Amino acid sequence: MPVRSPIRSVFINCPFDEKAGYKKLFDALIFTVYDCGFFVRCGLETIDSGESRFQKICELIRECPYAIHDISKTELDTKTGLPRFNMPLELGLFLGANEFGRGRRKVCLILDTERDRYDKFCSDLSGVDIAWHANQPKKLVSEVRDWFQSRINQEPASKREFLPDGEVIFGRFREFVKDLPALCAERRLNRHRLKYGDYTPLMVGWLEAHPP
Amino acid sequence: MPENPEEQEQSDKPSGKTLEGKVEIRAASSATLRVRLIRQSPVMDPKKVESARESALKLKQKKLQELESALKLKKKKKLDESSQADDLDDLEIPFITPGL
Repeated sequence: MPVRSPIRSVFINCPFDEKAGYKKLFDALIFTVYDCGFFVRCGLETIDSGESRFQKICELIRECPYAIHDISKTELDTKTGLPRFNMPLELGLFLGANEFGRGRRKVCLILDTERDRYDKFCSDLSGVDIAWHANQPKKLVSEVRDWFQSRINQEPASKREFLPDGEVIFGRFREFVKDLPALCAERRLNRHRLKYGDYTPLMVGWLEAHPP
Repeated sequence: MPENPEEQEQSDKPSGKTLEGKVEIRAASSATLRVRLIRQSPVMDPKKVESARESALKLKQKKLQELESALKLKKKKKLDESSQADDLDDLEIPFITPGL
């Protein structure tokens, strides 16, 4: 059954493995997406061994008008000595879908650690406006919030709204993180090994209980 | 639905009476609408979200109560301290002549 595609779906392209050390940034990122009224779509949402990872990513990109690509974790793997190519690959796939695909134009935000670092390893992107977060969740939240505000400003007047400042959203995120152990304990979940499928409903439920 | 269809018919007609009183109309803020939009997510399990929302609300309530009781305690402490200070004011401190 094809998945319904809401207008505000955001495809998230970032590292998911713990080795990448992206967990703090990822948690802050998805909190911001939901707090700004958008929905996260990413490779973690379903486990289907019958579907290839590439197929799943293509499907997600097809369904999402928006995407956030974080290419900050492209360092060499300590074991293999090879760089992580998944994020640039998925970014290329998204840009290609936008260029050659049919239907509504897709829009994306590209994130990196430093302002012009991407120019050194992905020079074809030169001239593209990207945002940088310096590996700081607070900065990432502000960059993502500002981008969503710019997208909302393009929507019809009736749907336009003012999002709170990035610092406010980050403050809400910290409140949620403080409440998380109690929420996990009630469900007998280990908060250090929380899976995406358990984490997001907890976060969305918390957001509903704490309207901005 | 009313059991008697006649009642239903009657209720649909204007009664002709003028009602007086205050009518409060509250518009949902854009922020509330934004939060509600989340439920439209195609991959979100509404049951899980609802249960998490209830837990988060309970926790919020508990924190509020704790804060309230802490404030009350602080207020009481302050009152006790000020009443102790008043007691001291009432005390007659004997005049002590230095050097005697």
